[in-house]
Amino acid sequence: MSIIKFFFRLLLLCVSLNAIAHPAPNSILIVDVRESVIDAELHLPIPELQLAVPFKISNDVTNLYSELEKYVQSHVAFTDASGQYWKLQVLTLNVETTGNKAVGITNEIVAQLRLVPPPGAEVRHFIIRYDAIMDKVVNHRALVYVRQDWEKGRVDKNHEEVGVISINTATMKIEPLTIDLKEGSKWTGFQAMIRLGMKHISEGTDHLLFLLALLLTAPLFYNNRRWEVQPVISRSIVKILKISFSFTIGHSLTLAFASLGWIRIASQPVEIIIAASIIVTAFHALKPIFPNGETLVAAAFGLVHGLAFSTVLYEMHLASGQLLLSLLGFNIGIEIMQIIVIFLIMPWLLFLSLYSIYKTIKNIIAVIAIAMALAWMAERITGTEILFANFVKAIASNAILFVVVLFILSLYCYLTKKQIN
Amino acid sequence: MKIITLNNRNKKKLVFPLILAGSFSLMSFLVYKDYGNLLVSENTFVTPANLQPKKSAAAYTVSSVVTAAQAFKALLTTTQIATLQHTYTATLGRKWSNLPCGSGCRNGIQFSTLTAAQLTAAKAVVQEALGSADNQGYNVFNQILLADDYLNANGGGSGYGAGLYFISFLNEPSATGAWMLQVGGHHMAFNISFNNGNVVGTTPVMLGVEPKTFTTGGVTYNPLANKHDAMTAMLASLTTAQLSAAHLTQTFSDCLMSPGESNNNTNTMPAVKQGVICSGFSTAQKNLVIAAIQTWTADMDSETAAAIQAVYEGDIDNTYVAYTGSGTSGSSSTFLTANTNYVRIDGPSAWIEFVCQSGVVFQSQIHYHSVWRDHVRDYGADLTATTLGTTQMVSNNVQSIKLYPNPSTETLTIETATALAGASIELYDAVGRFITSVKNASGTTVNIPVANLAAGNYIVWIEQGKQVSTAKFIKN
Repeated sequence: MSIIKFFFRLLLLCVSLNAIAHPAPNSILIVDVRESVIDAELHLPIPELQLAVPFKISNDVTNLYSELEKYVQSHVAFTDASGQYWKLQVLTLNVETTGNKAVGITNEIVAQLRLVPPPGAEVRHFIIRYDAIMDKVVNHRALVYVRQDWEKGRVDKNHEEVGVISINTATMKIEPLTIDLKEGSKWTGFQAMIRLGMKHISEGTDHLLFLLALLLTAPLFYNNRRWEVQPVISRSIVKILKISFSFTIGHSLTLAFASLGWIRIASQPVEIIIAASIIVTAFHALKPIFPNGETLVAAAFGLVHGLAFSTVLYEMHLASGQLLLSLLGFNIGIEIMQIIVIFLIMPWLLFLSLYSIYKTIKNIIAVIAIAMALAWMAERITGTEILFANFVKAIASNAILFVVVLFILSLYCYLTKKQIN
Repeated sequence: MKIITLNNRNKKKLVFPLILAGSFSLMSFLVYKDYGNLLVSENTFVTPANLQPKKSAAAYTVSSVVTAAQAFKALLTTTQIATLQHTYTATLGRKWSNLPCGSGCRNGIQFSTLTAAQLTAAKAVVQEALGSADNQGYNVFNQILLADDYLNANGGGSGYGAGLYFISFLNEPSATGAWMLQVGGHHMAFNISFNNGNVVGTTPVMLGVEPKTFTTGGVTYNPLANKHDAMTAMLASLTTAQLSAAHLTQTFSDCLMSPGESNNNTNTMPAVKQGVICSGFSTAQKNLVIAAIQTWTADMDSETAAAIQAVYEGDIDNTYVAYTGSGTSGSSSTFLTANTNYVRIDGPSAWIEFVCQSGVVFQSQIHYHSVWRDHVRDYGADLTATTLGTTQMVSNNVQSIKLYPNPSTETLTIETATALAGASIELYDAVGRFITSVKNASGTTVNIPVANLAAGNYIVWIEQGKQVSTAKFIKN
């Protein structure tokens, strides 16, 4: 998440539709359209802001909080079409760093704003009266983006530029910017959440790998502290169904509870446990450590995976109506993608389970899974990028080739090998 | 020799190593595909070291630029030509930038995609179109390329470099038709408009440099020093009272009119003049303003430079000078020294800005940005102008003509010494475009409503039989 934010802010600073000369960086106003209010994130580059205010700005904002709050209140306003002012609240003020050596590292004041329309006014139509910094620094500009708009299906932080605020050089005045967002619908939002759910898990290789590691044991049975392959397909299918169903129950429960705010757990330990869950289940596929307990394990670890899913919904800060619909849609999206993945992979694994080669394949997959999970574990504990993790990322983004490999192996077995009974 | 037979047992033994080998090759392939570029060394493009300009003996003509342009195109593939050349639209004309944003904000073909021969030919086009004096035109172009290579090698990284500059043609280069040459990249933009065998637009031009002075290959360069010093000399020559009138309270962290698409693509030049008007200056002071302007116009080929310089000189009494920052009259070293120090020359046509900015790569130094625009001639007014100045409009001036008020706002009154009879009066703007006419004019006084005209210089052309008389006026 932070990498996306970093690159986006780099982009906003310097390369925009209306590119400006660098390094004078832009201000940015990012708008999240909620059901009845607007949340906005205002980025004011400190070098430019310093030129426009009479007080000295340091990186310690706590002393300057009231001055900066006053500044924002007096230079940023939303009105409705008839000129009635919205209520503007500064929720937080922080200093953040953005940029890189090539385009320059800048510190910015980042303010989270809550804007409430006057009674009767529409949330989706407003006029921005803005002259922060540019009332003094006449070449300065502010780029305005819409980031979240649930009703229009904009849910995956895909920013859209809706305007640029700057001095009109012909008149040397700053004109207000009118924003007219087209009407959306609950159905559009719901659909977008289904798509988001599908996208989230298709990119969540760690979740899929956990599921796969569990499903590797589907055609196996426990005998004398070792795995034996049992070639009855129908029994394997039943086991697959049990495992995926309990995983679904597990993650749906915590997804719901955490999105509704009933549980709140920090994301780093959750991510680490997820990596651990892959190691545990992959090891179990090598040497049985909880035989006949796969269903329970799927449910138990599913609870943890659900917590990871919930961060997406939680960060969207949806009002209750949109939240419930989003919960349903997001979960449906996850299940759809889960089913697709199982249908892509399991047939080949089941077919291969008819051959003695299955054990070898299962072991190789389990070892690779453990290696990948260890890389993720290291990254998530230390919080830095590990070189091996780049290998892992490359494999993960081309996972479809894995299906191709399974297909080729199945073909090879079909043509050359003898089935075990 | 034992022949290894491929029976079932051996086959079984092969499977595992085969799968291992296969997976390993697959992994390596995937990694290389995604991360292979990490293995390639960074931008290795190097500008030629020779910066000595070729002193062209032949007089400048548009056709020499066109010849060079066609010679360049002849070396390109069809795909390259499609990248290089597009049909002119107002949007494409305005697509230029100061940022290191590559092809996202510029037209044309990138230098680093050209072979050595193609690049030489591309630079020959630039050399033909630009001035040849030291620290002007083609020489400044090369110095700024070197500065970008210097930034690349000294902390700026692969986002900078001479290879990241572009050349673009809008419309087919032609010795008679309308087309535009665009050259630019980080800290540089030239947009030269041609039409009717003339240069009809020399602007917008953006020139910047970081660091402002640097040494490479044993030579020290200071590409914008002459522009900077001409501006500080001009400011230092003003009296304390004049400096007071010229001082702006606004802050400029960059030039106002750069680059291509500012102001939601309207790109409108300011209508109100700020600062102190030069009409009250002494001759010496006016000459310093003119000399400062000349360090920009001299970036064009000598003929064009002379023509546009003549226009700007003729406008001197209606030109304004403005600046920010502190500075003492008589002391040029106190001007344009710190971040946001800014100076502007704004006339009926000329618009030149120069600003000092904190460095991006060298953050403890300041660096320079400058912009040259023209209220009338930017983009050759979208390639419709047919001449740069009014020199092409020749008359035999038999009549004595009086125009008042001048400058005019609502109505222009034309008074002739001898009465007109069935004369035709035509109005042209400063670049030779026809505006309006009065047919069959008679008498000694003719009134022309001018309220709807854009502000600027105009020519009145009175034709009676074989007699042609012209006079100029300014619309406010």
